[in-house]
Amino acid sequence: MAENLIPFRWPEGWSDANLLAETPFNCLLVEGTQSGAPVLSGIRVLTAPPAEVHLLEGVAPGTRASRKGDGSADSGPTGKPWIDANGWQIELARALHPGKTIWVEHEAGRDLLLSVADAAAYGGRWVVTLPRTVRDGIENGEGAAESAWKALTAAVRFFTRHSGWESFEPVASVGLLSDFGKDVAFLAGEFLNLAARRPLPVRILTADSMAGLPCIVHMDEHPPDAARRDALLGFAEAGGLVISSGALTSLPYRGPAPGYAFARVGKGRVVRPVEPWSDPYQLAADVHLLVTREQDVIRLYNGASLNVRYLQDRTGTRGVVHLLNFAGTPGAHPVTVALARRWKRARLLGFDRAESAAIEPVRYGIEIPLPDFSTYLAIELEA
Amino acid sequence: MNLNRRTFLAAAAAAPLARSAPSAPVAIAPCSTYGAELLPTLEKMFDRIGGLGRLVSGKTVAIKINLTGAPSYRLGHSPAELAHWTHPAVIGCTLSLMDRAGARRIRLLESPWNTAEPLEHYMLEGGWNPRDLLNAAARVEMENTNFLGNAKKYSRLMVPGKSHIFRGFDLNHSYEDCDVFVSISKLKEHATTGVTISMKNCFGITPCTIYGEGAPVDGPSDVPRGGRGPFHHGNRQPSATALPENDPSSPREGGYRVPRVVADLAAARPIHLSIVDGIESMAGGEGPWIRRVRRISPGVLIVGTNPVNVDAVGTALMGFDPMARRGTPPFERCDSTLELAEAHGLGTRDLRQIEVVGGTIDQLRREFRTA
Repeated sequence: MAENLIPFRWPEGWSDANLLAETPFNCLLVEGTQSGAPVLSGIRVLTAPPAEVHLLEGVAPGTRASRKGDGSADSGPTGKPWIDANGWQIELARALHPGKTIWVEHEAGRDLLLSVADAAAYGGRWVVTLPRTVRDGIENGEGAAESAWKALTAAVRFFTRHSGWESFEPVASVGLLSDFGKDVAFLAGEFLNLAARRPLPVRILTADSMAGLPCIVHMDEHPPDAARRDALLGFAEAGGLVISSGALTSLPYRGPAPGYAFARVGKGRVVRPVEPWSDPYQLAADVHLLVTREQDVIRLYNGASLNVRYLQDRTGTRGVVHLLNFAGTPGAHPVTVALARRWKRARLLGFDRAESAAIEPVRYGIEIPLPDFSTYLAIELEA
Repeated sequence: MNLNRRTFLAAAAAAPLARSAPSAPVAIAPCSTYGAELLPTLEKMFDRIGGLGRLVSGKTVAIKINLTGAPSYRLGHSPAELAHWTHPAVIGCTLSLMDRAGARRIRLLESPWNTAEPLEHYMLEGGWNPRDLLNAAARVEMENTNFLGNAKKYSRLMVPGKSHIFRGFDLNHSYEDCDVFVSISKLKEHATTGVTISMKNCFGITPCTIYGEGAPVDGPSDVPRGGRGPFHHGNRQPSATALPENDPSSPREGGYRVPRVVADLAAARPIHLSIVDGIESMAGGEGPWIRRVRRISPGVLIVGTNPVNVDAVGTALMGFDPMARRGTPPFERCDSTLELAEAHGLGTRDLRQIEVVGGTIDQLRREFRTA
């Protein structure tokens, strides 16, 4: 069962099996010619991921290193720092490879715990890979390296303990329906990436999973077939907003709206861009504007360096908000999370903390003021 | 005589030059919350300066509010309106009172940070419900003025007489297409200009499509990119379609430049009514992005028709001397906007020449540096 495997890339030259004692790792990835990996009961040693795993080549998560040479982070056009994250790729891989477990492989970045959380929050697993400094430090019995190893295993264990969250579904106001064909794959992927930064949570859809959303963004490589077209028009007829790169209806499209034309379909609307989409940043901004901020399911204050993933279970009685801080340090001011849904109870969970959280009712819904955190925090919610 | 709007603006701006450093009554009042006490307090204050009706009846009123910084910024966990934004209750009560006073049309204006999205969306992101404001009076509209907006061209408003840095500014049409211009500001310190009250609030009437860091050299961009760094640093001129600064060899220092730009703006786009929200605010700077800032509750409102007078009274209420010059608090590292506006003939900053009504400065002073 690949979903139960916790992968660890066994460092070349290591031979001490005791390193795995009391850790959650149960799968060692080794190079084909590598020897020395311990043979222990309950631990699989593999030279490649099993067939039930889809392996992603990821990036070391974090704020992007400055190109300016002054140590400051690069900023995007929103004034928010650019971040490297794997979450949207994991979500996409889960949608495109249903039934497979998603592993992400990348060199260790500055923050090992962030690498663990960045994958796990989106239902994937980082193939834990130690940087040389930590590997050597552990071998040499250095305290800092041993602490880092301990913290790392605690982070992995945390997500193992909360593996139930992996079955939760994204809470979103926008769905993305796409065949992710080669002509639209880049735009669709970057749309997911940049919408997450707003934050505008997007759920990747299949044709039979459109219900419960106010808006669908549709982009296919080829014009939709009749079934897909009917499904989208049916969604609009029932009151939804469809933003489609193609012309779905022969009804008259009207403006003016900057860059878009509208057609009223039943109780809803179909919108298409006047010019083909090319800029994913602008696309994310346009979609947020078209669906309107009144539909926001989550808002974030003082969270410029954060990505969030907001999930709830199928019954809607439990939820979780994963908060990933790509800066690696708390900001100057603490983060506040605002949720449109009025959850009754909230608990804060981190790798080394668990505490109840205050819920403050506001007109939008509720606000949850958070304490400082450097890398990761979860808000566990109850209806 | 048939005066068009442009002529009226020029005349209104030039008028103070005829009399040096004019003065008009400034109403101040204690107000500790944004609750039920706010509306009657504001109403009484407007009455004390001659009533709103004479200003707004039958007129199109444009109100510049202060929504500085990105809407996702907070000082600690405090909503922006309790620290660095003008509070929606102050705006809403003003709208309601202007409606009662017969305003024909009221337009809320702001040039929000780095975006061309509608003001309503910006407010939503900040946690406000814009419907509260849109429904507070009969005909309320909003416009994001950080770009061309709903017009076909920018409006050029000139500084009457000699200007400090810019002879004129190209602005969103909303600043010309109004009969009455109102500044609703927050009572705050400012890292670059010492204090920010009604005049500095209007620094934000300038569109970043022309004056921003990302403005193209040849002409305005469609949407704003970046902030107003060039006003601070003088590292570049506005887009070539706008008037350049008078003297590109003048100091390239924010403490020299920004107060002068603000004074020029106050001359080019005269402020007919200043309303200052000093109920809840912050000390140490103008937004949470400034280090060592903190919440403060001055519990005071200020209203007046002369922005220099109002800002002088506001400066005094914060515990500073409005006659202070560069090197003296709050102008340790900058020139005084008050002094520069006074030099334009816009109003006096001398408290001895200003009639303060509704209370005394001594009663309502809240020392921002020591509170």
